Amino acid sequence: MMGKVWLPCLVVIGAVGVLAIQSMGAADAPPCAERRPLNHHLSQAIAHLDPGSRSPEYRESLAYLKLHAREAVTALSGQLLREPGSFGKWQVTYLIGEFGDESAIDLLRIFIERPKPQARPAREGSHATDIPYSEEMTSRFQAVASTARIASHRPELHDQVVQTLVATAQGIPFLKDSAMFELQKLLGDEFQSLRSYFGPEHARHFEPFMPPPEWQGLLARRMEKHRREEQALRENRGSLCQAE
Amino acid sequence: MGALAYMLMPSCSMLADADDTLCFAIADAKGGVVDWPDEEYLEPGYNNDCGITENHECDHCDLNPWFQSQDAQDYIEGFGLAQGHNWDDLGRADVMTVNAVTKEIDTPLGRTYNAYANLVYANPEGIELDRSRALDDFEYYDSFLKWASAYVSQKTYRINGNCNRDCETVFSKHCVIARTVSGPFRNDYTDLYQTFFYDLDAVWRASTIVHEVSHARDGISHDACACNNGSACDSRWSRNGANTHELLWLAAYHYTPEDHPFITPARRARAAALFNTRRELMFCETPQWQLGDLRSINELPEVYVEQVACSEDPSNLYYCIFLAN
Repeated sequence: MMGKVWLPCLVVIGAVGVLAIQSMGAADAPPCAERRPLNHHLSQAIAHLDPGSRSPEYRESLAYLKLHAREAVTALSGQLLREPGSFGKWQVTYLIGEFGDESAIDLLRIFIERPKPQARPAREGSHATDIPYSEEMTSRFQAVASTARIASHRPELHDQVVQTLVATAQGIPFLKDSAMFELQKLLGDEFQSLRSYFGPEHARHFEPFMPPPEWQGLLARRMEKHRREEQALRENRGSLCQAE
Repeated sequence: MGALAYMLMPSCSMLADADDTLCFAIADAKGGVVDWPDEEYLEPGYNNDCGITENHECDHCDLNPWFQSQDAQDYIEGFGLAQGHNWDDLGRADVMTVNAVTKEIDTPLGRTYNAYANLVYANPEGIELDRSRALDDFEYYDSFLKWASAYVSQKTYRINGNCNRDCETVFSKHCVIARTVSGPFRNDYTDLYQTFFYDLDAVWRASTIVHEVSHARDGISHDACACNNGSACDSRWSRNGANTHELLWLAAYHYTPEDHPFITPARRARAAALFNTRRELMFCETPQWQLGDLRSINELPEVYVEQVACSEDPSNLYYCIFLAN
Protein backbone atom coordinates (compact mmCIF):
# COMPACT_ATOMS: atom_id res chain seq x y z
CA MET A 1 0.00 0.00 0.00
CA MET A 2 2.83 2.39 0.85
CA GLY A 3 4.16 1.98 -2.65
CA LYS A 4 0.93 3.41 -4.02
CA VAL A 5 1.05 6.37 -1.64
CA TRP A 6 4.54 7.69 -2.21
CA LEU A 7 4.26 8.26 -5.95
CA PRO A 8 1.47 10.91 -5.81
CA CYS A 9 3.29 12.51 -2.90
CA LEU A 10 6.42 12.78 -4.97
CA VAL A 11 4.44 14.34 -7.80
CA VAL A 12 3.02 16.96 -5.39
CA ILE A 13 6.42 17.63 -3.83
CA GLY A 14 7.92 17.95 -7.31
CA ALA A 15 5.22 20.38 -8.41
CA VAL A 16 5.78 22.51 -5.31
CA GLY A 17 9.51 22.47 -6.04
CA VAL A 18 8.98 23.60 -9.62
CA LEU A 19 6.70 26.43 -8.48
CA ALA A 20 9.29 27.48 -5.92
CA ILE A 21 12.03 27.59 -8.55
CA GLN A 22 9.82 29.53 -10.94
CA SER A 23 8.98 32.08 -8.28
CA MET A 24 12.71 32.49 -7.57
CA GLY A 25 13.25 33.31 -11.22
CA ALA A 26 10.40 35.78 -11.21
CA ALA A 27 11.76 37.48 -8.10
CA ASP A 28 15.16 38.06 -9.72
CA ALA A 29 13.88 39.43 -13.01
CA PRO A 30 12.17 42.80 -13.63
CA PRO A 31 8.39 42.63 -14.11
CA CYS A 32 7.27 41.37 -17.51
CA ALA A 33 5.59 44.64 -18.49
CA GLU A 34 8.91 46.46 -18.22
CA ARG A 35 10.58 43.99 -20.55
CA ARG A 36 8.00 43.73 -23.29
CA PRO A 37 10.02 44.93 -26.32
CA LEU A 38 13.01 43.00 -25.03
CA ASN A 39 10.92 39.85 -24.69
CA HIS A 40 9.57 40.29 -28.18
CA HIS A 41 13.05 40.57 -29.66
CA LEU A 42 14.45 37.70 -27.62
CA SER A 43 11.59 35.47 -28.73
CA GLN A 44 11.88 36.59 -32.32
CA ALA A 45 15.65 36.13 -32.43
CA ILE A 46 15.37 32.61 -31.05
CA ALA A 47 12.49 31.73 -33.36
CA HIS A 48 14.62 32.81 -36.36
CA LEU A 49 17.93 31.53 -35.04
CA ASP A 50 18.14 28.79 -37.64
CA PRO A 51 18.02 30.99 -40.77
CA GLY A 52 19.93 33.65 -38.80
CA SER A 53 20.94 36.75 -40.71
CA ARG A 54 19.07 35.48 -43.79
CA SER A 55 15.91 36.35 -41.87
CA PRO A 56 14.91 40.06 -41.69
CA GLU A 57 13.21 39.40 -38.34
CA TYR A 58 16.43 37.98 -36.95
CA ARG A 59 18.48 40.94 -38.19
CA GLU A 60 15.99 43.39 -36.67
CA SER A 61 15.95 41.66 -33.30
CA LEU A 62 19.70 41.14 -33.18
CA ALA A 63 20.21 44.88 -33.79
CA TYR A 64 17.87 45.63 -30.87
CA LEU A 65 19.58 43.09 -28.61
CA LYS A 66 23.02 44.52 -29.39
CA LEU A 67 21.75 47.93 -28.26
CA HIS A 68 20.18 46.46 -25.10
CA ALA A 69 22.74 43.78 -24.46
CA ARG A 70 23.00 44.18 -20.70
CA GLU A 71 19.24 43.86 -20.12
CA ALA A 72 19.03 40.94 -22.54
CA VAL A 73 21.87 39.12 -20.76
CA THR A 74 20.10 39.66 -17.43
CA ALA A 75 16.86 38.31 -18.88
CA LEU A 76 18.55 35.15 -20.14
CA SER A 77 20.77 34.51 -17.14
CA GLY A 78 18.13 32.47 -15.29
CA GLN A 79 17.72 30.06 -18.16
CA LEU A 80 21.47 29.71 -18.58
CA LEU A 81 22.28 29.15 -14.91
CA ARG A 82 19.21 27.40 -13.55
CA GLU A 83 17.51 25.40 -16.28
CA PRO A 84 18.53 21.84 -17.09
CA GLY A 85 20.19 21.13 -20.43
CA SER A 86 17.94 21.31 -23.49
CA PHE A 87 18.13 22.38 -27.11
CA GLY A 88 16.46 25.63 -26.04
CA LYS A 89 19.28 26.25 -23.59
CA TRP A 90 21.83 25.69 -26.35
CA GLN A 91 19.96 28.23 -28.50
CA VAL A 92 20.13 30.81 -25.72
CA THR A 93 23.84 30.16 -25.23
CA TYR A 94 24.45 30.61 -28.95
CA LEU A 95 22.36 33.78 -29.11
CA ILE A 96 24.24 35.42 -26.24
CA GLY A 97 27.40 35.12 -28.32
CA GLU A 98 25.70 36.90 -31.22
CA PHE A 99 24.79 40.09 -29.34
CA GLY A 100 26.67 39.88 -26.04
CA ASP A 101 28.71 42.59 -24.33
CA GLU A 102 31.02 42.62 -21.32
CA SER A 103 28.25 41.34 -19.06
CA ALA A 104 27.73 38.41 -21.43
CA ILE A 105 31.39 37.42 -21.09
CA ASP A 106 30.94 37.48 -17.31
CA LEU A 107 27.77 35.40 -17.47
CA LEU A 108 29.27 32.86 -19.85
CA ARG A 109 32.31 32.59 -17.61
CA ILE A 110 30.13 31.85 -14.57
CA PHE A 111 28.33 29.20 -16.62
CA ILE A 112 31.58 27.70 -17.90
CA GLU A 113 33.05 27.51 -14.39
CA ARG A 114 30.16 25.59 -12.91
CA PRO A 115 31.02 22.06 -11.80
CA LYS A 116 31.05 19.55 -14.63
CA PRO A 117 27.71 17.75 -14.78
CA GLN A 118 27.51 13.99 -14.47
CA ALA A 119 25.44 11.58 -16.53
CA ARG A 120 22.99 9.37 -14.69
CA PRO A 121 23.92 5.72 -14.94
CA ALA A 122 22.06 3.69 -17.54
CA ARG A 123 20.99 0.06 -17.35
CA GLU A 124 23.78 -2.20 -18.46
CA GLY A 125 23.72 -2.63 -22.21
CA SER A 126 20.79 -0.23 -22.68
CA HIS A 127 22.69 2.24 -24.93
CA ALA A 128 20.44 5.01 -23.64
CA THR A 129 21.47 8.64 -23.88
CA ASP A 130 20.80 11.06 -21.05
CA ILE A 131 19.48 13.88 -23.24
CA PRO A 132 19.40 16.72 -20.62
CA TYR A 133 22.96 15.87 -19.56
CA SER A 134 24.16 15.71 -23.14
CA GLU A 135 22.47 19.03 -23.95
CA GLU A 136 23.97 20.61 -20.83
CA MET A 137 27.43 19.59 -22.01
CA THR A 138 26.65 20.91 -25.49
CA SER A 139 25.67 24.27 -23.96
CA ARG A 140 28.94 24.37 -21.99
CA PHE A 141 30.94 23.86 -25.17
CA GLN A 142 28.79 26.44 -26.92
CA ALA A 143 29.49 28.90 -24.10
CA VAL A 144 33.20 28.74 -24.98
CA ALA A 145 32.45 29.35 -28.67
CA SER A 146 30.00 32.15 -27.82
CA THR A 147 32.60 33.87 -25.66
CA ALA A 148 34.95 33.88 -28.64
CA ARG A 149 32.18 35.10 -30.93
CA ILE A 150 31.69 38.26 -28.86
CA ALA A 151 35.13 39.50 -29.93
CA SER A 152 34.05 39.44 -33.58
CA HIS A 153 31.26 41.99 -33.17
CA ARG A 154 32.75 43.91 -30.22
CA PRO A 155 36.46 44.28 -31.08
CA GLU A 156 36.97 46.49 -28.02
CA LEU A 157 36.40 43.35 -25.88
CA HIS A 158 38.98 41.30 -27.76
CA ASP A 159 41.53 41.24 -24.92
CA GLN A 160 38.93 40.34 -22.32
CA VAL A 161 37.71 37.49 -24.50
CA VAL A 162 41.26 36.19 -24.96
CA GLN A 163 41.90 36.34 -21.20
CA THR A 164 38.68 34.42 -20.52
CA LEU A 165 39.52 31.74 -23.06
CA VAL A 166 43.07 31.36 -21.75
CA ALA A 167 41.71 31.02 -18.19
CA THR A 168 39.23 28.41 -19.43
CA ALA A 169 41.94 26.45 -21.23
CA GLN A 170 44.15 26.51 -18.14
CA GLY A 171 41.51 25.88 -15.51
CA ILE A 172 38.78 23.63 -16.89
CA PRO A 173 40.18 20.37 -18.26
CA PHE A 174 37.16 19.21 -20.24
CA LEU A 175 36.86 22.58 -22.02
CA LYS A 176 40.59 23.00 -22.68
CA ASP A 177 40.58 21.70 -26.27
CA SER A 178 37.55 23.76 -27.15
CA ALA A 179 39.02 26.95 -25.68
CA MET A 180 42.33 26.38 -27.50
CA PHE A 181 40.44 25.83 -30.76
CA GLU A 182 38.61 29.13 -30.33
CA LEU A 183 41.83 30.95 -29.45
CA GLN A 184 43.44 29.56 -32.57
CA LYS A 185 40.56 30.82 -34.73
CA LEU A 186 40.46 34.19 -33.00
CA LEU A 187 44.17 34.94 -33.00
CA GLY A 188 45.34 33.36 -36.25
CA ASP A 189 49.14 33.45 -36.46
CA GLU A 190 49.29 35.32 -33.15
CA PHE A 191 48.07 32.15 -31.44
CA GLN A 192 51.67 30.88 -31.38
CA SER A 193 52.55 33.72 -29.02
CA LEU A 194 50.49 31.97 -26.32
CA ARG A 195 52.90 29.04 -26.16
CA SER A 196 54.65 30.50 -23.14
CA TYR A 197 51.40 30.43 -21.17
CA PHE A 198 51.05 26.70 -21.59
CA GLY A 199 53.22 23.74 -20.68
CA PRO A 200 54.69 21.15 -23.07
CA GLU A 201 51.62 18.95 -22.57
CA HIS A 202 49.71 21.50 -24.63
CA ALA A 203 52.10 21.36 -27.59
CA ARG A 204 49.53 19.47 -29.69
CA HIS A 205 47.34 22.54 -29.83
CA PHE A 206 50.08 24.61 -31.42
CA GLU A 207 50.78 21.99 -34.08
CA PRO A 208 47.40 20.91 -35.48
CA PHE A 209 47.26 17.96 -37.84
CA MET A 210 48.24 18.66 -41.42
CA PRO A 211 47.79 16.00 -44.09
CA PRO A 212 51.18 14.44 -44.97
CA PRO A 213 53.32 16.23 -47.58
CA GLU A 214 52.43 13.80 -50.37
CA TRP A 215 48.81 14.97 -50.10
CA GLN A 216 49.50 18.70 -50.24
CA GLY A 217 49.30 18.94 -54.04
CA LEU A 218 45.92 17.23 -54.15
CA LEU A 219 44.76 19.36 -51.22
CA ALA A 220 45.56 22.55 -53.12
CA ARG A 221 43.83 21.28 -56.30
CA ARG A 222 40.69 20.25 -54.44
CA MET A 223 40.53 23.56 -52.57
CA GLU A 224 40.69 25.37 -55.88
CA LYS A 225 38.10 23.07 -57.46
CA HIS A 226 35.68 23.52 -54.55
CA ARG A 227 36.21 27.27 -54.61
CA ARG A 228 35.26 27.34 -58.30
CA GLU A 229 32.20 25.13 -57.69
CA GLU A 230 31.01 27.35 -54.87
CA GLN A 231 31.54 30.44 -57.00
CA ALA A 232 29.49 28.90 -59.82
CA LEU A 233 26.77 27.99 -57.35
CA ARG A 234 26.66 31.53 -56.00
CA GLU A 235 26.45 32.99 -59.51
CA ASN A 236 23.74 30.51 -60.45
CA ARG A 237 21.78 31.46 -57.34
CA GLY A 238 22.30 35.13 -58.11
CA SER A 239 20.94 34.80 -61.64
CA LEU A 240 17.95 32.80 -60.36
CA CYS A 241 17.18 35.53 -57.85
CA GLN A 242 17.37 38.21 -60.56
CA ALA A 243 15.09 36.15 -62.78
CA GLU A 244 12.52 36.02 -59.97
CA MET B 1 -6.92 6.02 3.72
CA GLY B 2 -6.12 3.08 1.47
CA ALA B 3 -8.99 3.92 -0.85
CA LEU B 4 -7.88 7.56 -1.01
CA ALA B 5 -4.32 6.55 -1.82
CA TYR B 6 -5.57 4.20 -4.51
CA MET B 7 -7.65 7.02 -6.07
CA LEU B 8 -4.61 9.31 -6.14
CA MET B 9 -2.40 6.68 -7.66
CA PRO B 10 -1.94 7.23 -11.42
CA SER B 11 -3.22 4.27 -13.38
CA CYS B 12 -0.87 2.02 -15.27
CA SER B 13 -2.44 3.15 -18.52
CA MET B 14 -1.74 6.78 -17.66
CA LEU B 15 1.90 5.98 -16.98
CA ALA B 16 2.20 3.99 -20.17
CA ASP B 17 0.66 6.80 -22.19
CA ALA B 18 2.95 9.36 -20.60
CA ASP B 19 5.99 7.40 -21.64
CA ASP B 20 4.64 6.46 -25.03
CA THR B 21 3.05 9.64 -26.32
CA LEU B 22 3.67 8.96 -29.99
CA CYS B 23 2.04 5.51 -29.94
CA PHE B 24 -0.81 6.99 -27.94
CA ALA B 25 -1.27 9.86 -30.40
CA ILE B 26 -1.43 7.42 -33.31
CA ALA B 27 -3.92 5.18 -31.52
CA ASP B 28 -6.01 8.23 -30.59
CA ALA B 29 -6.25 9.65 -34.13
CA LYS B 30 -9.56 11.37 -34.79
CA GLY B 31 -10.91 10.69 -38.25
CA GLY B 32 -7.46 9.59 -39.32
CA VAL B 33 -5.86 12.87 -38.18
CA VAL B 34 -3.07 12.41 -35.67
CA ASP B 35 -2.25 15.13 -33.15
CA TRP B 36 1.50 14.69 -33.35
CA PRO B 37 3.46 15.33 -30.15
CA ASP B 38 5.50 18.51 -29.71
CA GLU B 39 9.14 18.58 -28.80
CA GLU B 40 10.34 18.82 -25.25
CA TYR B 41 11.24 22.49 -25.56
CA LEU B 42 7.79 23.42 -26.71
CA GLU B 43 6.15 22.28 -23.52
CA PRO B 44 4.15 25.04 -21.86
CA GLY B 45 5.05 26.31 -18.43
CA TYR B 46 8.75 26.21 -19.13
CA ASN B 47 9.72 29.53 -17.58
CA ASN B 48 7.70 31.25 -20.25
CA ASP B 49 5.73 33.64 -18.09
CA CYS B 50 7.30 36.51 -20.03
CA GLY B 51 7.35 34.75 -23.35
CA ILE B 52 11.12 34.52 -23.53
CA THR B 53 11.34 30.80 -24.00
CA GLU B 54 8.34 30.32 -26.23
CA ASN B 55 10.81 29.37 -28.90
CA HIS B 56 11.26 26.60 -31.36
CA GLU B 57 13.90 25.57 -33.80
CA CYS B 58 11.64 25.69 -36.85
CA ASP B 59 13.26 22.37 -37.61
CA HIS B 60 14.84 23.81 -40.72
CA CYS B 61 11.51 24.17 -42.49
CA ASP B 62 12.19 27.51 -44.22
CA LEU B 63 15.25 26.26 -46.01
CA ASN B 64 14.42 22.65 -46.62
CA PRO B 65 14.43 21.93 -50.34
CA TRP B 66 12.77 18.53 -49.93
CA PHE B 67 9.62 20.39 -49.02
CA GLN B 68 9.36 21.77 -52.56
CA SER B 69 10.08 18.76 -54.71
CA GLN B 70 8.76 15.24 -55.11
CA ASP B 71 12.10 14.25 -56.68
CA ALA B 72 13.82 15.33 -53.50
CA GLN B 73 11.41 13.32 -51.36
CA ASP B 74 12.00 10.28 -53.57
CA TYR B 75 15.76 10.73 -53.24
CA ILE B 76 15.47 10.80 -49.46
CA GLU B 77 13.22 7.75 -49.50
CA GLY B 78 16.10 6.01 -51.29
CA PHE B 79 18.13 6.01 -48.07
CA GLY B 80 16.19 2.96 -46.87
CA LEU B 81 12.99 4.68 -45.81
CA ALA B 82 11.05 3.25 -48.75
CA GLN B 83 11.80 -0.27 -47.50
CA GLY B 84 11.19 0.67 -43.88
CA HIS B 85 8.33 -0.47 -41.69
CA ASN B 86 5.69 1.56 -39.85
CA TRP B 87 6.03 4.81 -41.79
CA ASP B 88 2.38 4.66 -42.87
CA ASP B 89 1.46 5.17 -39.22
CA LEU B 90 4.20 7.74 -38.73
CA GLY B 91 3.23 10.32 -41.31
CA ARG B 92 3.49 8.84 -44.79
CA ALA B 93 0.16 10.41 -45.79
CA ASP B 94 0.84 13.82 -44.23
CA VAL B 95 4.60 14.09 -44.30
CA MET B 96 4.42 17.82 -45.03
CA THR B 97 2.09 18.67 -42.16
CA VAL B 98 3.24 21.73 -40.28
CA ASN B 99 2.15 22.39 -36.71
CA ALA B 100 -0.23 25.36 -36.88
CA VAL B 101 1.11 26.90 -33.69
CA THR B 102 4.81 26.24 -33.90
CA LYS B 103 5.15 26.20 -37.70
CA GLU B 104 7.26 23.08 -37.34
CA ILE B 105 7.20 20.05 -39.54
CA ASP B 106 5.66 17.69 -37.04
CA THR B 107 5.29 14.17 -38.41
CA PRO B 108 7.97 11.65 -37.48
CA LEU B 109 8.59 10.92 -41.17
CA GLY B 110 8.88 14.63 -41.99
CA ARG B 111 11.33 15.11 -39.16
CA THR B 112 13.30 12.13 -40.45
CA TYR B 113 13.37 13.74 -43.90
CA ASN B 114 14.78 16.85 -42.22
CA ALA B 115 17.58 14.75 -40.78
CA TYR B 116 18.44 13.26 -44.16
CA ALA B 117 18.25 16.71 -45.75
CA ASN B 118 21.34 17.60 -43.71
CA LEU B 119 23.17 14.74 -45.40
CA VAL B 120 21.88 15.51 -48.88
CA TYR B 121 22.03 19.31 -49.04
CA ALA B 122 25.34 19.66 -47.25
CA ASN B 123 26.65 18.91 -50.75
CA PRO B 124 26.25 21.51 -53.46
CA GLU B 125 25.08 18.68 -55.77
CA GLY B 126 22.13 17.92 -53.50
CA ILE B 127 19.95 15.23 -55.04
CA GLU B 128 22.10 15.25 -58.18
CA LEU B 129 24.85 13.41 -56.31
CA ASP B 130 25.24 9.89 -57.65
CA ARG B 131 25.20 7.71 -54.53
CA SER B 132 25.89 4.47 -56.34
CA ARG B 133 29.56 4.82 -57.24
CA ALA B 134 32.24 2.77 -55.48
CA LEU B 135 33.05 4.27 -52.12
CA ASP B 136 36.73 4.45 -52.98
CA ASP B 137 36.00 6.74 -55.94
CA PHE B 138 37.39 9.80 -54.24
CA GLU B 139 37.74 11.66 -57.50
CA TYR B 140 33.96 11.78 -57.51
CA TYR B 141 33.37 11.81 -53.76
CA ASP B 142 35.93 14.55 -53.33
CA SER B 143 34.60 15.82 -50.01
CA PHE B 144 33.77 13.89 -46.86
CA LEU B 145 30.17 15.11 -47.03
CA LYS B 146 29.71 13.65 -50.52
CA TRP B 147 31.32 10.40 -49.45
CA ALA B 148 29.19 10.24 -46.30
CA SER B 149 25.97 10.67 -48.27
CA ALA B 150 26.92 7.75 -50.53
CA TYR B 151 28.14 5.72 -47.56
CA VAL B 152 24.85 6.14 -45.72
CA SER B 153 22.92 5.25 -48.85
CA GLN B 154 24.95 2.17 -49.72
CA LYS B 155 25.26 0.79 -46.20
CA THR B 156 21.61 1.15 -45.27
CA TYR B 157 19.11 -1.55 -46.05
CA ARG B 158 16.03 -0.58 -44.10
CA ILE B 159 15.13 2.30 -41.79
CA ASN B 160 12.07 1.65 -39.64
CA GLY B 161 10.02 4.10 -37.64
CA ASN B 162 9.14 3.05 -34.12
CA CYS B 163 6.59 4.93 -32.05
CA ASN B 164 7.92 3.65 -28.72
CA ARG B 165 10.02 5.43 -26.20
CA ASP B 166 12.76 3.22 -24.78
CA CYS B 167 13.74 5.09 -21.63
CA GLU B 168 15.35 4.27 -18.32
CA THR B 169 12.17 5.13 -16.41
CA VAL B 170 8.71 6.50 -17.14
CA PHE B 171 8.88 10.30 -17.75
CA SER B 172 12.66 10.01 -18.15
CA LYS B 173 14.59 11.74 -20.93
CA HIS B 174 17.32 9.15 -20.60
CA CYS B 175 16.36 7.14 -23.63
CA VAL B 176 17.53 5.05 -26.53
CA ILE B 177 17.55 7.20 -29.67
CA ALA B 178 17.85 4.46 -32.29
CA ARG B 179 18.92 0.85 -32.51
CA THR B 180 20.55 -1.02 -35.38
CA VAL B 181 20.45 -4.75 -35.91
CA SER B 182 22.90 -6.15 -38.42
CA GLY B 183 23.26 -9.60 -39.88
CA PRO B 184 25.55 -11.55 -42.18
CA PHE B 185 23.09 -11.66 -45.09
CA ARG B 186 22.51 -7.93 -45.30
CA ASN B 187 19.20 -8.07 -43.46
CA ASP B 188 20.24 -5.22 -41.22
CA TYR B 189 17.79 -2.58 -40.13
CA THR B 190 17.63 0.49 -37.93
CA ASP B 191 14.73 1.41 -35.68
CA LEU B 192 14.29 5.11 -34.98
CA TYR B 193 12.48 5.77 -31.69
CA GLN B 194 10.32 8.62 -30.48
CA THR B 195 13.35 10.28 -28.88
CA PHE B 196 14.95 10.54 -32.32
CA PHE B 197 11.93 12.38 -33.74
CA TYR B 198 11.10 14.76 -30.92
CA ASP B 199 14.00 15.13 -28.48
CA LEU B 200 16.83 15.85 -30.95
CA ASP B 201 17.37 18.75 -33.30
CA ALA B 202 17.83 18.00 -36.99
CA VAL B 203 21.66 18.18 -36.99
CA TRP B 204 21.91 15.69 -34.15
CA ARG B 205 19.35 13.48 -35.89
CA ALA B 206 21.54 13.52 -39.02
CA SER B 207 24.69 12.58 -37.13
CA THR B 208 22.71 9.81 -35.43
CA ILE B 209 21.92 8.36 -38.84
CA VAL B 210 25.62 8.30 -39.76
CA HIS B 211 26.26 6.64 -36.40
CA GLU B 212 23.63 3.95 -36.87
CA VAL B 213 24.66 3.19 -40.44
CA SER B 214 28.21 2.63 -39.21
CA HIS B 215 26.83 -0.10 -36.94
CA ALA B 216 25.10 -1.69 -39.90
CA ARG B 217 28.33 -1.50 -41.88
CA ASP B 218 30.69 -3.02 -39.33
CA GLY B 219 28.16 -5.17 -37.47
CA ILE B 220 29.80 -4.20 -34.21
CA SER B 221 28.02 -2.75 -31.24
CA HIS B 222 29.63 -0.50 -28.63
CA ASP B 223 32.26 -1.53 -26.11
CA ALA B 224 31.34 -2.40 -22.57
CA CYS B 225 33.81 0.10 -21.17
CA ALA B 226 32.96 3.13 -19.04
CA CYS B 227 32.74 6.51 -20.75
CA ASN B 228 31.28 9.80 -19.54
CA ASN B 229 28.01 9.07 -21.32
CA GLY B 230 27.50 6.00 -19.17
CA SER B 231 26.66 3.76 -22.14
CA ALA B 232 27.02 3.40 -25.93
CA CYS B 233 30.77 3.98 -25.59
CA ASP B 234 33.53 3.09 -28.03
CA SER B 235 36.80 2.23 -26.36
CA ARG B 236 38.86 4.53 -28.57
CA TRP B 237 38.76 6.65 -31.71
CA SER B 238 40.97 4.29 -33.76
CA ARG B 239 38.40 1.55 -33.41
CA ASN B 240 36.82 3.27 -36.42
CA GLY B 241 33.40 2.66 -34.93
CA ALA B 242 30.06 4.40 -34.99
CA ASN B 243 31.16 7.25 -32.73
CA THR B 244 34.25 7.96 -34.85
CA HIS B 245 32.14 8.15 -38.02
CA GLU B 246 29.60 10.39 -36.34
CA LEU B 247 32.32 12.80 -35.23
CA LEU B 248 33.91 12.88 -38.68
CA TRP B 249 30.57 13.81 -40.21
CA LEU B 250 29.93 16.53 -37.62
CA ALA B 251 33.38 17.98 -38.31
CA ALA B 252 32.80 17.94 -42.07
CA TYR B 253 29.42 19.63 -41.61
CA HIS B 254 31.04 22.28 -39.42
CA TYR B 255 33.75 22.96 -42.01
CA THR B 256 31.37 23.96 -44.79
CA PRO B 257 31.73 27.44 -46.32
CA GLU B 258 30.35 30.46 -44.46
CA ASP B 259 27.85 31.26 -47.22
CA HIS B 260 26.66 27.69 -47.72
CA PRO B 261 23.16 27.77 -49.25
CA PHE B 262 21.76 25.21 -46.80
CA ILE B 263 23.97 25.16 -43.71
CA THR B 264 23.45 28.32 -41.68
CA PRO B 265 25.89 29.64 -39.04
CA ALA B 266 23.65 28.31 -36.24
CA ARG B 267 23.71 24.80 -37.69
CA ARG B 268 27.48 25.01 -38.19
CA ALA B 269 27.89 26.07 -34.55
CA ARG B 270 25.54 23.33 -33.42
CA ALA B 271 27.65 20.74 -35.26
CA ALA B 272 30.81 22.01 -33.54
CA ALA B 273 29.20 21.91 -30.10
CA LEU B 274 27.87 18.40 -30.73
CA PHE B 275 31.30 17.30 -31.97
CA ASN B 276 32.94 18.50 -28.78
CA THR B 277 30.26 16.98 -26.57
CA ARG B 278 30.29 13.59 -28.17
CA ARG B 279 34.08 13.53 -28.35
CA GLU B 280 34.11 14.11 -24.60
CA LEU B 281 31.31 11.71 -23.73
CA MET B 282 31.32 8.76 -26.10
CA PHE B 283 34.84 7.34 -25.88
CA CYS B 284 36.41 5.52 -22.95
CA GLU B 285 39.72 7.11 -23.95
CA THR B 286 39.21 10.74 -24.99
CA PRO B 287 40.46 11.02 -28.59
CA GLN B 288 43.55 13.06 -29.36
CA TRP B 289 41.84 14.19 -32.56
CA GLN B 290 40.26 17.61 -32.19
CA LEU B 291 38.06 19.76 -34.37
CA GLY B 292 41.08 21.81 -35.44
CA ASP B 293 42.79 18.68 -36.78
CA LEU B 294 39.96 17.93 -39.18
CA ARG B 295 39.82 21.18 -41.13
CA SER B 296 40.84 19.55 -44.44
CA ILE B 297 38.23 16.80 -44.20
CA ASN B 298 36.15 18.18 -47.03
CA GLU B 299 39.17 18.40 -49.33
CA LEU B 300 40.85 15.06 -48.64
CA PRO B 301 38.15 12.61 -47.54
CA GLU B 302 40.33 9.63 -48.47
CA VAL B 303 42.92 10.54 -45.83
CA TYR B 304 40.26 10.80 -43.14
CA VAL B 305 38.33 7.68 -44.14
CA GLU B 306 41.31 5.44 -44.75
CA GLN B 307 43.86 6.70 -42.23
CA VAL B 308 42.64 9.23 -39.69
CA ALA B 309 39.69 7.07 -38.59
CA CYS B 310 42.08 4.26 -37.68
CA SER B 311 44.92 6.26 -36.14
CA GLU B 312 45.07 7.22 -32.51
CA ASP B 313 47.99 9.59 -32.84
CA PRO B 314 47.62 12.48 -35.33
CA SER B 315 51.38 12.48 -35.85
CA ASN B 316 51.45 8.78 -36.71
CA LEU B 317 48.97 7.84 -39.43
CA TYR B 318 48.50 4.34 -40.72
CA TYR B 319 46.05 2.71 -43.08
CA CYS B 320 42.87 1.03 -41.88
CA ILE B 321 43.00 -2.75 -42.07
CA PHE B 322 39.77 -2.80 -44.05
CA LEU B 323 38.82 -0.08 -46.47
CA ALA B 324 35.57 1.78 -46.34
CA ASN B 325 33.78 -0.49 -48.73
